[in-house]
Amino acid sequence: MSLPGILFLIIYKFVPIYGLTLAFKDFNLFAGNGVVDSVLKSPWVGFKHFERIFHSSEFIQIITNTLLISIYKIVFLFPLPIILAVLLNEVRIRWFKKTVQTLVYLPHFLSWVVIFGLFYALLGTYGVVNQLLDWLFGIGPIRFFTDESIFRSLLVASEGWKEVGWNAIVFLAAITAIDPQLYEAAMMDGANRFKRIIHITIPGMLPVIILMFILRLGNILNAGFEQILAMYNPSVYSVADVIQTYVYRVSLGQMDFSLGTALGLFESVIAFIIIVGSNAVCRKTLGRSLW
Amino acid sequence: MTKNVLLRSLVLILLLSLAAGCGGGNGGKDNAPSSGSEAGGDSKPVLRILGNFAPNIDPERDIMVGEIEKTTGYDVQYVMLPQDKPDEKLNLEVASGSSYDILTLTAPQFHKLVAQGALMPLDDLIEQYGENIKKVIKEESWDLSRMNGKIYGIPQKNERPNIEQTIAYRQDILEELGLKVPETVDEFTEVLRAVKAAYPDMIPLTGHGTGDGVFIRTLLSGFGIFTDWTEIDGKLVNRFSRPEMKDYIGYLQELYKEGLLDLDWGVNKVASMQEKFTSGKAFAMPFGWFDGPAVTPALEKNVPGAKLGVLNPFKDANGEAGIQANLRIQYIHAIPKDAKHPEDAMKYMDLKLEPNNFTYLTLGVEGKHFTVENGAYTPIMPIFTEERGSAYWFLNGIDEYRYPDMWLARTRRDPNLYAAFELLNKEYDKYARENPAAFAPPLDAVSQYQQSLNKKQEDYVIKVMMGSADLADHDAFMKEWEQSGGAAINEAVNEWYASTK
Amino acid sequence: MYKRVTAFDVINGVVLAVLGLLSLIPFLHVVAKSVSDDAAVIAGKVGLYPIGFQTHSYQYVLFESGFFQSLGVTVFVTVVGTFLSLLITVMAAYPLSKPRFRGRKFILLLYVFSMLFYGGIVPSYMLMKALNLLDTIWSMIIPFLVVPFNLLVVKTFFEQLPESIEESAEIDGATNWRILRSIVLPISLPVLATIGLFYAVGYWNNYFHPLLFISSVDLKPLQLYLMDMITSSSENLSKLSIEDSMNLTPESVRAATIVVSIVPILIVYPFLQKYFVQGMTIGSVKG
Repeated sequence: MSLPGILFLIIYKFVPIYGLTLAFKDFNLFAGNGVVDSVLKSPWVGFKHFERIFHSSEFIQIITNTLLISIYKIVFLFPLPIILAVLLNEVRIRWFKKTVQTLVYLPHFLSWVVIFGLFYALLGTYGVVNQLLDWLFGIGPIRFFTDESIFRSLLVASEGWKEVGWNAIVFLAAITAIDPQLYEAAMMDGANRFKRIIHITIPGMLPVIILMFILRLGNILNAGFEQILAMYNPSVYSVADVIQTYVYRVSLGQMDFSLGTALGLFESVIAFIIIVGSNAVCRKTLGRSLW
Repeated sequence: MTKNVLLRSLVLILLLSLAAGCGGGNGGKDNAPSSGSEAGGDSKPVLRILGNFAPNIDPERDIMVGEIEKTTGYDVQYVMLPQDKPDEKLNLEVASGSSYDILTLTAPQFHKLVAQGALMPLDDLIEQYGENIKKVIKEESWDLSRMNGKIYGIPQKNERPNIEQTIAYRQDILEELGLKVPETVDEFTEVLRAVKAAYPDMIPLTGHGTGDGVFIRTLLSGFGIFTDWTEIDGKLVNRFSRPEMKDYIGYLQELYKEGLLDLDWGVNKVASMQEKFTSGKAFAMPFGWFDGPAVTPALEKNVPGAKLGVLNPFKDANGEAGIQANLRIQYIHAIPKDAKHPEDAMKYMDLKLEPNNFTYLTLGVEGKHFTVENGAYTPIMPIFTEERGSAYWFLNGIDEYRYPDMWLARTRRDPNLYAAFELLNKEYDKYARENPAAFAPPLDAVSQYQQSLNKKQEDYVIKVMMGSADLADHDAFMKEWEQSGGAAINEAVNEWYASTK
Repeated sequence: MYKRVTAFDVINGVVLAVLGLLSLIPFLHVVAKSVSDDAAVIAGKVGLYPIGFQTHSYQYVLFESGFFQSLGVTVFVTVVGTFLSLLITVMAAYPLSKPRFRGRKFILLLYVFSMLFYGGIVPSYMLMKALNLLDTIWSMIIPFLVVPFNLLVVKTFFEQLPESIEESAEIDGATNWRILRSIVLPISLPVLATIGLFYAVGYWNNYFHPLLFISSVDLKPLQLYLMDMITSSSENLSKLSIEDSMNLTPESVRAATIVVSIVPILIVYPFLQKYFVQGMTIGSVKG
């Protein structure tokens, strides 16, 4: 039964893995007869590409930004879809619940380029919010996009708006899988709504929550490349420049497959270590794990 | 039972793969032109041409496909690269041996491929089959596609040198305030100040933070910087290394501090900038004539009474003004090393440059698609756009002698565009300057570093302008600049320049 | 359930309503832009309702040659892909949810590994070429048959099902297939709907791989088609020729393409919502 899955895995996921060797080579597409041959024939350069990233003068800054932004996002944004799912579940008017559910995932489908336009119209120096602030309170414009102390919050908030609704879907499904008899029993024991949420709903969602959390943690080096690329500008490089945006700028126009592969490999290794590690921790503390 | 299951799954997978394989085989050929001219050694082979992205052209169904077949007798399959990541796709296709006969490449793409030995030298083919080609392409143009003494592609320059950029401003407001059109940087500053005083909520000068939005050529002229490279004492100096550039950056910084610039300059995308101008929130912005069709009507509709004016390049301390003419390589048409029909490919390209064919394929039939009067070509609309609108993408080389004038017919298709074009080029002869490095051949250092270096420059200027970097550190930045490719590019360009003397 | 409306309900309702509005408003803005006058769009005057109504943007998007072809391609890819993906993913996840499955840890590790490590576009391209799948419709389906993330979600759900249900069937002599088909799947509809949605959206929005693998115009999927349609002027200056600038698309078209690509998902989702019904496991536990 599991055969097709495994076959797929081997052919489509593992065969191309040889491409990872490019991270340690200077890839020349035309080194051999044909591309695969070129991969094999391109010269080995050891850790040169990794050094290029790690020894850059900005490395401390970009790794700090990457981690900080990612951690902010996890801390502030991870619980939100769970809460949203719980709240939605408590709604008893069917049409309201369905409508909100459908609306709330819409922003997920807009691209960051479009979202930038929207947020800029709202929060730009000449935007709606600043105009209101000036008109109502007479306070000067808040530089959401260029103030280093505010920009990261802007990143977190805009991502929250975009993804919370979509991320809640999985948790909603998890809630519906909880046995209603548990609720009935609890109510007969006199548990109020909050007690029910805390003792039944949340524990019922726990396996999914753990899964999501471990995976999200593994993704820690992914601070939101596309988002940051669309929304950042030189004034906030010091707080928002992450590993991927830095590499992007530095390798513009070069089509450097090797550098990109090296970066990807680095991210993958870290993610793998974190996932395996956090899985082990979960197993020991909570008795549950991914495997 | 489990064995049965295993067996069934295996069969399923095999079937799927087979279907994929068969589907793959057919899927690719489904779109080949069905005129069947592949068979037989005497009839002309089907040629495959890969070109770069162009908006709104269907390379398989465009009317030009049929017209070209009619004219040259060759059945050609055109494929277009995607808009995103075209270089990756191009290189993958060429390296993995896709069977194209002609590649229409941008200069950077050409360089990469020729440096890696992927292209076929064309000297012999041109000698044998390229009579027309030799006639219409000037001798010096061939240098652009020559590497190590051999020609690897047919160079196609841009249609006609012209001035592309300027600063657009609200002429109505200028007149209202009784100011005269500024011709120097100082006069310009005065105008901005006056506008700010009269309209405190208006942004005097806005701009954008993408691409080279900070390097406004009209302004640079006022600092004596007219072209990207200038010859000083026999060597070529990059505009960014010149001391005048530091003054320019300082100037922007001062304007910003005084509140005369858009506070969000670095955040603006082109659309945001144009929004502010066309809705009346900004007085002036950088402008190219290709923005004409969108911006001019938008401005006039949204701000009643508004008039769009453009500025000539400012005079510098010596009273000189100039701006770089847009003169560059558009495309280079190359033949891959492993192409199957190189002779036919050359013959095909040659046929298209035969004078009558060339006129037919770019402008159409005189009297039906266009008219000529005293050397001025005018299109007959709407049939011109319908039948020749996309002709430019199917070019494989242009007639360098005739096309600059013929091409104006194509520009006249869109009156707004043409009006803007004329406006900026009214005094072309007076202001246009040629970039001495415009026709340098592909250079290693340039293709490797230029783009990322440009970005570095732009980011730096924006940071200084908006206050997160200090001009006092300019020298430190210049060292960084040199290390990030500035020095390498300088060396390479000058090496080439010295060799041309 | 109680019929009384509590303070909690009211607050909950308000909060959710606000969230719903916050999510809806930008979408309304995009729709408004798509039918507004170009001049108004460029000047940024369009808010929540259109200014100067026009339909030429939609006419342009929908009736230029190629739209329906691309739509057809994407629909085929999405329907077939989602079906196959669900099939294979479920088949792979079910054994992995049984603790006694031999090699379970190892295989799971393999999947997780494959989720994280990506060989790069070069080997993927060459693999497709070697299998003769370049420029075929299957190249848009086969590489995505299994998304390990989705697989993990399904596995997690399967693990949560009460064992007693399956045990009673086993005692009656049913095979694994039988149990999966007749017992597990019917009560797993929420997760099937969820993962089906994820796969469908994935196929629908897929853009990057067709970019590399597809060259024929006829096989262009919808997203690629729409993406290629949007070319803005000055931002692409270095790449565009002067002639190209005469063929550019108006601003409102950009908004129209966004609407067009979201609408089908909007239509499909409510149908899936009915599977998010609680209590699928009621009555299935007999003992």
